[in-house]
Amino acid sequence: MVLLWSAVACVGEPPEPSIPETPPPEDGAVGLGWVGQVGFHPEDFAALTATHREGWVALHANDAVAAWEAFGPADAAGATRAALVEGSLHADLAALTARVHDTLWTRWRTRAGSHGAAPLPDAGRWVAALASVCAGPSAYGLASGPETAPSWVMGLPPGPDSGIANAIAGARDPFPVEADGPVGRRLALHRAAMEARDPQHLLAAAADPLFSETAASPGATAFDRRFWDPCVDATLARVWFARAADVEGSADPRSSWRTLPALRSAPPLAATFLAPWPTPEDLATELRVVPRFGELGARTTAIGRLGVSPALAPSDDADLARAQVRALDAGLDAWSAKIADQAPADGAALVRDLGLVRVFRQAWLLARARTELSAKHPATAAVLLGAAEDRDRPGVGPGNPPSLYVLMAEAELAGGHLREALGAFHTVAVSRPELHGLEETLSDLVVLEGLGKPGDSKEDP
Amino acid sequence: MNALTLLLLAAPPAGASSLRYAEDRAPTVVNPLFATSLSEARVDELVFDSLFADDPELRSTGRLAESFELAPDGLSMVLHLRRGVKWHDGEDFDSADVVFSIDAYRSTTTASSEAGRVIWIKRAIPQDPYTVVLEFAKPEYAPQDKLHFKILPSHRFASPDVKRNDTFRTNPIGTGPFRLVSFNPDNSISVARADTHWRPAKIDELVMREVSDKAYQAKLLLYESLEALVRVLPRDLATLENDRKIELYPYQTNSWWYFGFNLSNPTFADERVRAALTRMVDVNALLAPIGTGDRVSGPFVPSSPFYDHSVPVVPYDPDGAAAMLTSAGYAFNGQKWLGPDGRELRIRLVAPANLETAQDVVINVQSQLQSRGVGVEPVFVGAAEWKEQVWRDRGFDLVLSQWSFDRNEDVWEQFHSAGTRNFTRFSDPDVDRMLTEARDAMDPQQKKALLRQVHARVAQLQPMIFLFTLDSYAAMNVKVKNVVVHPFYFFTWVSDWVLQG
Repeated sequence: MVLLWSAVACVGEPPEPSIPETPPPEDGAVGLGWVGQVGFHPEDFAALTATHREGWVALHANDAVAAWEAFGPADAAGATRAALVEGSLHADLAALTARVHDTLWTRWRTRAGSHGAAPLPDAGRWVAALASVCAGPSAYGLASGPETAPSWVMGLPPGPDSGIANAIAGARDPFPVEADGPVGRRLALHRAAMEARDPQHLLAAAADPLFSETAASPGATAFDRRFWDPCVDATLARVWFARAADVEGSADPRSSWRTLPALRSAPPLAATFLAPWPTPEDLATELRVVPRFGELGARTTAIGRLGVSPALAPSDDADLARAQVRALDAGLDAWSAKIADQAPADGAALVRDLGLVRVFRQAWLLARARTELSAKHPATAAVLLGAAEDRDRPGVGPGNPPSLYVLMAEAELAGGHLREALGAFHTVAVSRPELHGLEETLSDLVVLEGLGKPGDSKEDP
Repeated sequence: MNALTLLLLAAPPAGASSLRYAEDRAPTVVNPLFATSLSEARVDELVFDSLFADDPELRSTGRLAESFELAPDGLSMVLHLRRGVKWHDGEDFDSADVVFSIDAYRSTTTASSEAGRVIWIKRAIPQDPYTVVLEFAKPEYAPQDKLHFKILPSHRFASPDVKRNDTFRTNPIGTGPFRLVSFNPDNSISVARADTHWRPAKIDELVMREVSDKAYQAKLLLYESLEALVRVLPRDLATLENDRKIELYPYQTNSWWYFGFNLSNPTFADERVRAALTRMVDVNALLAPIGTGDRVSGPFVPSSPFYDHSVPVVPYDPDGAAAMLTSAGYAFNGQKWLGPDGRELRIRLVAPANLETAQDVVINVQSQLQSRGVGVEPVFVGAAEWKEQVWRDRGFDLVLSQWSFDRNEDVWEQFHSAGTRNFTRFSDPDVDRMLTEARDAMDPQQKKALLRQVHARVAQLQPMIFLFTLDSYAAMNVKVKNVVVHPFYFFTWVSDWVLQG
């Protein structure tokens, strides 16, 4: 198989991406992983959905929380899958949050005091510090991380949250510190959410700003200043991954998603249905190597059977990404035809009516986009995510999972396109009130960049 | 497709790479001083250059300026110009052109719609042919971000007082990557690569075709009679997306459609009449034939930082509208609404000519209003007449148009009483104050709060019936490679595009 990334140097022109011939579909009953399994063995699908069908319906409709509730403790595999999907969403949101805050506070601090921007208020420095703490390891090449958190709290005036500030200044974990100020009260909710494995109280609080004050200066209109908790999604990701571990009675908080029975030893279709990994064998391989759950399936060898290289491109190249999508679609077309032609009528109908090839395609493109973002290829990720969007049913819902738009926002932000990031994020924020704070923070960044600049406008009839 | 069209859309000579793209309306002028439409701005992007421009990560990068120094107090900067740049007629670009351009934009005789882009520059002083000092009215943090206006050739004009009908408009000379070759009788425009450009393009020519029918545009792209569409309607997305020869390029344009009232007309100066007419229009029904989009309640798109989500869209409420007209002294005689003077309530609705989308909307709204007893006289105006009738003379009762904004979403010109794009003659002292304060704001949350109040206040006062925003996609043949589209100016990085095969 010719790898997609072979390039021929040509002076003055970008290399033509080489698109391999689509390999012929495999003979044999299984075909394309779980999609083929449903097509050729509809009885497996019937067995999977015989109980707690509503859970799978909800997962298919991109509502992981509804799926979790529908599966309940009785369907361990389904409940685990649902919890991991929701946890992965919050992990995506946490990654976006880290990037938004890193960019906002770094730029505001740079501009503050010069002719560029108003000084950074104390509340902003608090939020910047917390955002740095919650950013986690700097996998995204951010300027901020836990190691930069102390710089934000230096010089903050004393107050009821001073104990937390001291912990941050001393590079200690601030979350266990009890305090009576707004930060202390909020961190208490984070602790409660983790201890109870229950996101509800934190979700409710997330809709309220962490800091709210009226800002006024002589001669200017007073305005409400609000800053939002930057750690919500980092905690919620941990809550949902802990819930996944709890499903089968694991009391060990260090249980990793890599070892969860629902992923490792569930019946084949329960571990793969709707997933970006085609087969349990692909999953087993990936569990050993991928750094985060959301990237599972992105580089399976199975995807090679569709004419797409498992390896990432050597550079961030949007044209190569487009060629990759075309190769993927050509391969999927061949598989779809195979299933329609040769699978039993009821199996073929299931694949067609549930849109399973589209579901697999979208899931794989999202996993791959996450991997490309981790590799600092935002232009590639943006192309993959644009291709993944179901434009016939735009917005969050059965056509598109919320993660799609979260990742789009991150790809745009990483590429320097702040306003586009806000446009993408708005699509998911309208459906989830707890995201209002992050949307407002991202909008602060967009506006900060435009301060002092007159805009251009034109008629466009 | 008739034979004439096929002829006009014939393939370019063998060996030359030619990118043909469609515009709904051809530009009537190629002169950055007088560009009022996006189609004009797009052609200007091909033919002219600026001191600085966005790079693909939307950071300012030098074009005609190579480097600069900013004074510590932010009140002046020294620009070092790129040497060896040639105008398309072979003359040298130098500091005199920069000074001339700023003066021309600023000239009250020129009355450029782009004057606001230089108002912050107090003086421009040439030091030598390749050095210019700019002095500013107030300290500037990053003036290079505001030096994206196009530079004009001083040797081509007698003075900075440039007339709108100067022949330059159809025989422009720029320093951009493409030079204008012909302005054709069929409204098409051909530009050819400027081989003397400091960073030559890789495509030999671009041809702009005026194709006002959006569905026809899509067909031409599918049949490979065009290589690019700058804007695809939502209803055509699926067809294009399913063709593996076509790539879609989403971009953020921050644009919204509206009907604007002429507030200098006493009938429409009455808030109750405006409120009533707004409630007589079923906006969802206007949107349906176009495809998916979002309603807007004010002068920003819903994803904007400045959109006030607490302001609802005005509902379709014909009964409520009737009550409002009655309270304004109108009476319904069973067929028509009659004003206090006994005259029929009738609206002269001006809309762009030869635009399928606009025609659909006008016919639809005419039907809606006439069924409710309000007469509508549609007047479709060509592009050249539009500038006179709408921009200059405000010769309408209601105007249908669409505004597009760059990422700064600055509505000052549209809603400030002194704004050059304030067609409706809207004037409110609170809005004036908030717009000015927002422009000067140095705190992002302060600016956001102010402009959200502008949204709410403008929505309340209703100088316009705010309609909807549509997602923006460009569509191109897969032969066009290395494409990155500027979200507002589209062709900013066209020099990197390649046409293969």
